[in-house]
Amino acid sequence: MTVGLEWYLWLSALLFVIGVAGVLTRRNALIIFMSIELMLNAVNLAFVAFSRFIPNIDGQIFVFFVMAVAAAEVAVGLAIIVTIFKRKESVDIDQVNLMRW
Amino acid sequence: MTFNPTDLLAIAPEIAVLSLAILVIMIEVLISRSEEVLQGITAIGLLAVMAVSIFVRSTSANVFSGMVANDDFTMYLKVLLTGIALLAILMSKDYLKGKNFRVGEYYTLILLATVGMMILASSTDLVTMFLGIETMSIALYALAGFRSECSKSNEAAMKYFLLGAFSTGFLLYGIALLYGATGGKTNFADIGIAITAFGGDNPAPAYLYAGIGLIMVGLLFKVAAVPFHFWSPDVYQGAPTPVTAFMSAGPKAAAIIVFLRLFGWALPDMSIAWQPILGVVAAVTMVTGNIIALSQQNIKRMLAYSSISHAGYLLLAVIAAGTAGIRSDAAAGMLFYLVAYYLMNMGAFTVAILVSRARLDGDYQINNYQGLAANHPWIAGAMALFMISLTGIPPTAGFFGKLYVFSAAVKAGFIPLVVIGVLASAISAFYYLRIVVYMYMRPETAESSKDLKPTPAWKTIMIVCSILIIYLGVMPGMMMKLADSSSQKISSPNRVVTLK
Repeated sequence: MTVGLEWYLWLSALLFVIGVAGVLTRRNALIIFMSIELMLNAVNLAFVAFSRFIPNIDGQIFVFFVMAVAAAEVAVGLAIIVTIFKRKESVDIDQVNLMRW
Repeated sequence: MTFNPTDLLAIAPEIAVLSLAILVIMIEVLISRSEEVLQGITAIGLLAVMAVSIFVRSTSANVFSGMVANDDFTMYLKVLLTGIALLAILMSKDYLKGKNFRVGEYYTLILLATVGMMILASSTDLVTMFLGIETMSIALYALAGFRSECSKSNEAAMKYFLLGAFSTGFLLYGIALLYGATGGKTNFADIGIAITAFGGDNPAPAYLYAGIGLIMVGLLFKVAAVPFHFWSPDVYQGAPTPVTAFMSAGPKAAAIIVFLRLFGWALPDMSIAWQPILGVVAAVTMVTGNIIALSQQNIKRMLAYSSISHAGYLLLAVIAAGTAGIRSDAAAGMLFYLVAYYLMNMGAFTVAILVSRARLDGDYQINNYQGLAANHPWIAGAMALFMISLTGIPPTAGFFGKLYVFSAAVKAGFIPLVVIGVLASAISAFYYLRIVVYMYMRPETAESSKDLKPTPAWKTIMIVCSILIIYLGVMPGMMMKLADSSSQKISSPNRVVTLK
């Protein structure tokens, strides 16, 4: 039995869905953020798998771009979360609710 | 794949804006923290960038192996996006005063977001599209939370960031699946060619459809279309007002343009699959945006919902672009609409800043506009013009913008959608004209008789926007010809693909 492209794609889809579920159900901003990172890593897995099986190198190059951009996003995102924490002593997104409708 | 040094000319405007951003932040750190100096350099620099976009161009059609477009359409967009940044900076000038902001950082972030927008608007490859979206978004997350002492601004930044990063995940997963399904293509034109090969005994893999759907979700989030609009009113309300004005014009324009390029140029063969879905989204966006706007009491939130509904009108052009033969009409209509939308929105936000500043609590309630016309006939007149133009009543730029977009959609055969669009615009008259009624037909209050003290910068914006709106509304011919001729020549670079 060989491990084909489908196996990687299903694993990547599973990771992506776990990430989405985490974003939708968790209330702590940091955990939500970690779930988003999981989604991005699911994408990276899909890219690498495609790149290996097509075969075409562009997918692996794309992964580098994804990682670089994710790092930049972490820098800005954590700064925003820290600002909220300094003010509220909490990163629970249910408490960030000044504006509605 | 070879690198041709003259390719750099095609991205000279981006390089210039990026250098300007670095220059401004270095000047703030090393030389002067004076607001006037920093603002002057940014404004003059952007004017220079506009000239660069028009005059300095690479003659080659196929730059950077087809990763960015180098045609009149792109040039037009770069000039428009620079113009948006320029007005946003002019608007910020007196807004920033006395707010204890680090102005250098603020201008740098606006410029960096502009670089992202320009890359996004010129991208013809999934890699450049992704990089453009992220460069733009990351700068905007920081800008939304720029008033770090204000809870609402913090909240806006957090919501924008979490939802923005979430949508990036969808966009990227879509890109990965599209990349895999087309056999390793990231260039829009190559994707289009790869897709024509499917059919018959070579069916498209199921994940091709999933990929297109996920990319659509990611882009619809960026243009704030229903049902992916939840972030937009909160972010618009919480962000500093000049940033809100910038966000409502620039990123929306850049994202809708890449939407047009990707779906109209790379995926027209899939239009049977995506046109109906986008049609439903556009209809729901136009109707929902306008109906929720009716009940808003805060002008920033009202304009946020209005900008959601305008995204719906713009989506009509994207849908029309999927039909062969209508493509350049749709693109031209969209270009005209984007210019009109930018002028009227920037003007409306400028008046909103003026009116809210005159109040002690500095809030943005619509009640503040009561009786404004009695003491400030010029400002009220300009605001009335912006509102009429946003509604789409002639003779204003907004009318012709809608006309061109709707007529492209009619030519493509989407008559029910256009009917919904026209009805939705009729609904929008209620809330836009409510402001006009408040200004002209309500008695003035102690608050509204206060002097609004418009500074020269704000006056300039209002005058320029008003004149251009009337000009485009009375004589749309020249602008339309420009939009038309630049959309005729949208290049779709076909690079020769060599598989190793």
